[in-house]
Amino acid sequence: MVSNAATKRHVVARVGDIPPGERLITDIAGRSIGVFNVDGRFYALRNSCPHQGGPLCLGRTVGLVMATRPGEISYTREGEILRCPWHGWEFDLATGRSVFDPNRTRVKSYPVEVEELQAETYAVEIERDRVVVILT
Amino acid sequence: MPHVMWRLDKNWKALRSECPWLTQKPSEIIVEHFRLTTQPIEEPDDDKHLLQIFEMMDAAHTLMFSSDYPHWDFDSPQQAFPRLPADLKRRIFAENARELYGL
Repeated sequence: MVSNAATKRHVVARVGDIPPGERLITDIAGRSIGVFNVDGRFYALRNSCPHQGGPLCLGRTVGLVMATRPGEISYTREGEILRCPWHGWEFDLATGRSVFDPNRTRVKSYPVEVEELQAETYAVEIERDRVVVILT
Repeated sequence: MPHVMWRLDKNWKALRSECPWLTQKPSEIIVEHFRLTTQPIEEPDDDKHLLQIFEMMDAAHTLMFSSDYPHWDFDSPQQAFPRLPADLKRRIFAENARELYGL
């Protein structure tokens, strides 16, 4: 992993290392962080549930179940909701906010960028499209 | 009642997607839509514990006095309960019922 402490930018993988629907759980500056690929969009969340500290990023990704009234259920955003493996609390991968109490119950989320690397001084080949997590 | 409210809230956090039409915590729905009456009631030995239970269940909005009439061991409104704060007493003995029945 290539890190730059000054800018807090941490290269964690090549894009191809985390296919859509998959995740990478990695340590960044002593923190366990899950990096998720949802249809080509990357999200990073702290791997610790705000409920009881469970390994949130080991949980299943699901869609968002909503209803305007009993029996009228919609299922959208497939793969964008993460459920903690301990008690099933749901979190929005895009924001880290819980579904049941988005304003007060959240997990730390980090911006993720995909950057095209032009060259490295000592590289023997140019590797493009790195996944970069920015610690905030 | 307080325990049921806590249990429902706890389970809802884990099982929200099973009943996604709920837009509030179950305990908030109970306070808004459920009213309970004071008979039958199990009273703790220490009066202050009863007041704590009242506070936990938001009795100022959810509880209404009931006499248990015509049972021989009915609750007299003069005798029932330890001394209550005036506001709470007014809610339990009058205002909550007035609001519910639109009086």
